[in-house]
Amino acid sequence: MIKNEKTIKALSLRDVKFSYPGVREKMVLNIPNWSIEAGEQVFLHGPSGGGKSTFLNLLSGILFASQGTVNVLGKQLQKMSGRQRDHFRANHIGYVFQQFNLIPYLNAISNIQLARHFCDQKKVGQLHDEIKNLLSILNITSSDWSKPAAKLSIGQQQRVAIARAFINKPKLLIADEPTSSLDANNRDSFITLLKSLVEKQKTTLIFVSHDLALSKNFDRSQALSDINLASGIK
Amino acid sequence: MFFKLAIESLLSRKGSVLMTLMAMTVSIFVLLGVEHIRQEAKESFSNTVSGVDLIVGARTGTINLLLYSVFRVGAPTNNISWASFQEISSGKNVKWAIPISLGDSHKGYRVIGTTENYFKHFSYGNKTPLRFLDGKPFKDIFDVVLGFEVANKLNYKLGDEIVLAHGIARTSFSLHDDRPFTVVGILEPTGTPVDQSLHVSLEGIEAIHIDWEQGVKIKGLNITNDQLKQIELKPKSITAFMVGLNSRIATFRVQRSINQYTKEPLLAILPGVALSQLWQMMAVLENTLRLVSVLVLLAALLGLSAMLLSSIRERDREIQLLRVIGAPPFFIFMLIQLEALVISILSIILGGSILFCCLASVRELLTYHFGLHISANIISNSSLVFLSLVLIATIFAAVIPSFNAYKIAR
Repeated sequence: MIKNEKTIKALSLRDVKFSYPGVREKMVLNIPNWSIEAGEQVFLHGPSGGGKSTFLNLLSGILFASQGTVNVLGKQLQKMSGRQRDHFRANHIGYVFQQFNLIPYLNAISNIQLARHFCDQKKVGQLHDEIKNLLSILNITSSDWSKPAAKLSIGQQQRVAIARAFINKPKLLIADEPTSSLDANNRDSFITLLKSLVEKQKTTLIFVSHDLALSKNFDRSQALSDINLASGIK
Repeated sequence: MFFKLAIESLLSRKGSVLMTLMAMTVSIFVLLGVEHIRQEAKESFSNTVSGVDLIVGARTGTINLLLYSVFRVGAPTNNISWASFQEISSGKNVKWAIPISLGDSHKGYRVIGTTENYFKHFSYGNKTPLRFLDGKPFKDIFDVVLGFEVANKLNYKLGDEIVLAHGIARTSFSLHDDRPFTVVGILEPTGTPVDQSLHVSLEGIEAIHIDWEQGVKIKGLNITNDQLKQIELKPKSITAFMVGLNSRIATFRVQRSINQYTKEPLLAILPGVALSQLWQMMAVLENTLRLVSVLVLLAALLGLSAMLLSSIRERDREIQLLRVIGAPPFFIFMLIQLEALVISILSIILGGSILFCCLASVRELLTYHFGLHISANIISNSSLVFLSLVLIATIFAAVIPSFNAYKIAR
């Protein structure tokens, strides 16, 4: 499928319409055409409640569109079974949320191992080194590695979340308001670390935030309302 | 990783999990305990006597006769005359007869006056005859043969002299201390009330009571042992006797003729029939106990289900997170199931071990007071069946919370 990194789109949506079951008349998403090149870093902004989470869940295959095609990394999500989409997500998509990125009772290392558990590559011997490597790059001191995630500071949790998202070397990284709970210092270091990893691994990045000041860090900036034509946004 | 996730998740909710675990442990304890004691009691009861065709005593209830003659529980209603015993035991269908004379004790253990026939013909379990660990049957008037437990607990060996007490109370003030008995034999353990008995000859029983009347020693009347040998020590009465017949076909005929014996009101019972009557009497109790233990388990399982269900609500985001990193909904379903099973298995282990310890510590009391031999080994076919049913019930109880989690994951 993958012919050439330049020609292939990391993401392309065509005529996508989505509404939640039970409220069919109220369309949440209506996206005629939208795409991202492989390796591109896209900043998306929009007010909260603007169908953002729905949009991202559609890209990661947790939800799927009743109409139109969602093409991620050259695969059509609609043509996959639920099981296949879960598998695809585990292998190819990294995810960082605003908060609650980690299982609170597992420590940093176990949280990252868990992400590997659902993915195809399962070489445990190397895994430990990879995890330690990532955690060091992300400035998590080794004494915090085996603390339950709930005991870490928000800044640390978000950085561990980056490690969790990157452990399977995803082709696509979705960051949903990842800095909104952080103070300015933590936010800047978070973005720096994230960008360095994204560039090193040539990951396609979708960074969602309501904070327009952050848009200067990315290749392209777009408002969700420009992409999504659905009028009845809740 | 799957297992680790379940364990860590349970550990993170120590309080509610511990409470649920305790409720489950108690219910497993009750369930296993009731089942085990029921079985053991039945086994112990039905193994107490075998090869005896009829038990004959003074007219009383069937079960009462069985209890005092075989289990040495309770007091005999009346004695029967020696003449009746001799007449019946010489009947043409009778192969052998074992007379039993009760009424004395030694440090709480009952003394049985009998004849050598007891060691020849009495059997227990699967027609196992009595065997001697040491020594031989009594021969002399003041010889005594000890059951295994009596010898073991009171640390008696061959040649020791012991004094019998009048009456069956544990602490008796009227001792037959003028006529001590010599231990001449110790029986092998049988797991029946025989272990807790002292066996002397009928003549011995007669001899220690010869200068007694109405349960007290007659003052001033002292008969020496040399004088005793001159007297003919023929018992006037016995408590009961066991009969072995030449042919089992004759059992009912002999039974009827004993029950219609005109010289004295007698009762003959078939030990097997009496035993099953005893169990029928207990059936209501048995079933009630079973029902209660099942209800206790049900309550504990509902508690488990409720605990998991409320945890699911708190774990909404955790489930979403697992989905995002690629966990299929079925994984979430199984995760909750595993948590339930871990609690269930832990409480089986805990409940089982506590039961084992309890049984190991109270079994002597049970044996002492009720003649019940309860082994501490709780692993049997039926307990394994019960435990697998518990696991299956756990899976069913966890379906609702698991399915709830599954729905969140969808």
